[in-house]
Amino acid sequence: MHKRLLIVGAGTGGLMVANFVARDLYLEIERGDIDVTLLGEQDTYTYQPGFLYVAFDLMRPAQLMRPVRELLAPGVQFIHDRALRIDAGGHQVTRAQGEPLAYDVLVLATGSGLNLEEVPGMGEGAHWFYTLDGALRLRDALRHWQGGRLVLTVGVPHKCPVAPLEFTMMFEEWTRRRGVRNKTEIVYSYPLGRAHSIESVADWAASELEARDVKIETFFNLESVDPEHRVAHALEGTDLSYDLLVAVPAHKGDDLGASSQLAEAGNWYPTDRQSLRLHSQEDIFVLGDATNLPISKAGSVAHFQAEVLADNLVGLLTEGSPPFNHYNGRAFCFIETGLERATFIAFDYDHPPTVPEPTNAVHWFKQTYNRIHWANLKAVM
Amino acid sequence: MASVTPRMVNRLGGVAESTIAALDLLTSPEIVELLSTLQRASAVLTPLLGQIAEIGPGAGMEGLAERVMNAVAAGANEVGVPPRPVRVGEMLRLLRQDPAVAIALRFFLGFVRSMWSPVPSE
Repeated sequence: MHKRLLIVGAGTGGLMVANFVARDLYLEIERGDIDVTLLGEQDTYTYQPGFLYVAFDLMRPAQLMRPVRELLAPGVQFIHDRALRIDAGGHQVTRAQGEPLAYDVLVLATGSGLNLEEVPGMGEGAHWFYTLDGALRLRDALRHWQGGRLVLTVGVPHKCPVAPLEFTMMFEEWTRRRGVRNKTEIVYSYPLGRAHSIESVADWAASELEARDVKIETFFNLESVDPEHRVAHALEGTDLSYDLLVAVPAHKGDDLGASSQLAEAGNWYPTDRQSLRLHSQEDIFVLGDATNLPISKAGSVAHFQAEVLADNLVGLLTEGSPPFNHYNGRAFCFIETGLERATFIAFDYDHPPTVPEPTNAVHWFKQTYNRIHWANLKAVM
Repeated sequence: MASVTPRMVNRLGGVAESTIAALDLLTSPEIVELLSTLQRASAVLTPLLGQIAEIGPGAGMEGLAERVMNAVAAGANEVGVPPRPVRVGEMLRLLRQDPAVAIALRFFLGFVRSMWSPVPSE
């Protein structure tokens, strides 16, 4: 019986699921028993963790981008278009430029984006490294940095929960190398009463930042930015003046969830924490940033979820079996602690992370991974 | 001791990606299937290898090319692997057009033969 798998979103999660399934079911695809279709608004994939390095002139944008079609396993059909609405009852997805796409099984890997509107003045007064344009603007600002006060703020939720710490520690070493550390004051703020949402990471980060003479400002929820006077205002009533404001904006899910009336507040899809099935929908699954799960929004999470989901999809498409493989909340994050040292954290739903001593080897491993990430996406590694 | 540098990592990343991609290609279902098919057809193909070396751009080549491809297709049919008429047709076209392709095929078959012993004739 002919089955159609439709995956919406050609980011890390969508590409991996499509490629894993296509590699497992190449015979069925070749026979025409199964279609694997990837629907993506962008036809160029961008490796977002690389933005951090772009800001410091350590990677070029061209190193982070590949055409989506070059990343597909044989058998995956790619459609470059924007999904507009999911008709769950009718089993189809309407799109901007073509006929609706019918499906038997739907995977939502629509990711997340910046919610800049939430904080008045942020778009004009702040820099960020969460988009390529933003990273390039920040790079240009850093190229002219001669000293002053850098303030970093963090909105929640946001992608890659350790990236604000990475930026702060990389910037601190970067100013030392440029000979402007003694003219630079660094303020790291966080919306909670500690330096990170994960307690063990917060404890570790506090000592690392203190050792680098970085000031920590807790309970700082950015409410507005005054670009003219260069002041960041917090909900708590605190003000921080700055010469350079680096904001980690809060994120929100794609509009598709809201327009389809399938998402909840923030446009996050209510998702089963183990099967990754969309609540109340038998044939729709969600992975990556788009879920409402209380886990990191990170590429590694999308990767681990993609492996679990692909196994379940293969069973569902070939035998009609219910999800048998469970996602356990697994996540892995490298943490750059400067320009030549790094550590990592690994954790899941039941096991919080510990932070090993940073090493030079982990840093270079991360650098190498940045350059062979493509093999992961293609599901060959 | 010299440290790792960004350029070393760039180069290493490029080499690693190329190597992984090449391994992925060599282990793809199509290549594995082709090699398996050639192995099964080796009893027929092996005697032809010597003749291929003497082939020129003449009518004799077409006949030999047909025999080679038929042997490949027969090997495929023996175990129920679907023949690939489009690919076979394309290879035949190339063989007819360009004698160099026939020579390349000879080297390829020689490589395959060096990997496996010929299947004994019944």
